[in-house]
Amino acid sequence: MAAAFCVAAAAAHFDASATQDEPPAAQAPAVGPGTPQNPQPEQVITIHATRDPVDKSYRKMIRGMDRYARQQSLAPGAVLRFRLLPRLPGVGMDGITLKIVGDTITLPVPLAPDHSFTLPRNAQALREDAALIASRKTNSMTWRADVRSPGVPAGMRRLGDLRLECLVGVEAGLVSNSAPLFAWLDYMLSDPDKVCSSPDGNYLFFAERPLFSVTLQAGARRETLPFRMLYAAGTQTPATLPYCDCQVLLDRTYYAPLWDRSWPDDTLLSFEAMDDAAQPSTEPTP
Amino acid sequence: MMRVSKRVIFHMAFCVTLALVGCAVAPPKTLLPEARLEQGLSIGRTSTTQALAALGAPSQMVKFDSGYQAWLYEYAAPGAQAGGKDGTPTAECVVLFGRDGIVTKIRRRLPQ
Repeated sequence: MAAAFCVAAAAAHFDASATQDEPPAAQAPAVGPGTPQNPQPEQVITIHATRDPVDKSYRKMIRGMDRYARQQSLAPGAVLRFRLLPRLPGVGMDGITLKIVGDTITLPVPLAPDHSFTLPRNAQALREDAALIASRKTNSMTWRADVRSPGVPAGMRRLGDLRLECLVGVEAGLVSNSAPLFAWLDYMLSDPDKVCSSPDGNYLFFAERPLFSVTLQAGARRETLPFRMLYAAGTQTPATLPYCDCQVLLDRTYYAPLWDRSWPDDTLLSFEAMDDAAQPSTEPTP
Repeated sequence: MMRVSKRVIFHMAFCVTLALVGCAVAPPKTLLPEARLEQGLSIGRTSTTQALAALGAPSQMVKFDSGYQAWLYEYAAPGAQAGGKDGTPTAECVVLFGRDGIVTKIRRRLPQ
């Protein structure tokens, strides 16, 4: 969202990383303060976007795309997109605009009606360590990779797709669970190979609708996920929930057994929503 | 750029964990007999108040912004061994209450 700030010239101090649509040469030069005898006219600077310390890094997201390319064997023939999701109550997801903003470059990123998008590769944006900026407050949304293999029945997910989503999502730094103060620590501990291959990796997925159960099926093998793999393990409290990017999607949240290779990539996950008609118990025979 | 070794991070995490956990010891879980679940829960009838009265507090309870609530009761299923291979300690009975506080769904899961 473009924001116009009317500032006195002496106060025209802003972070060097602040970005404008105009190249640096077009920016107004900094001038000294006016005096009562020689008043300076107020200077109007229009800032079309500002980088937030926790905006998504274009470089990291490209690294996520590189990871996708390297490990696409998990989901052959799939398509990678990224997706915006609400994180705060009442946040409007329609009408959001996205752009890649570097020091001298601005590239619009078209957003699909389902709030998904793809990123173009741009050498200049990479060089300028550009940020991906949305027209919403950073902490009002969360982000995920979205990998969809062809042929997966509607309403179901394929485990290999989810494994790849995790690797891309962690590599690209899409999850922002921590308070910004500790974001650096979160980043340092986020190794995609560890997060996505450990039972304690805790990479959250979001279903399309509020969940009652999630069932895995691979051939004749069928299991329902335990309660602790739904609703962010069911351990969130009002005090901790604001630090989880599942804040408003808690009822759609689940963990998938990414680490358990006894479930092949072609395992399908089916979902029973809270408001679905009651189904017979999916409990397997012991 | 701040550089912090993994060792420092682990020490920090250890101290924070100690401070948070203290000397707490989890109390042993009390498992419900399966028959009590069958008697105490009925879709479209049982309210949260009635479930509490009949079965006691659930092992876990999640209240959602939508007004729905998911409760977890753990029970001793006939023939089910405590401690399944996936770490689930017991059989599960998940109860979903709707916005009106009445049971809308029930499902069970044995240790895998």
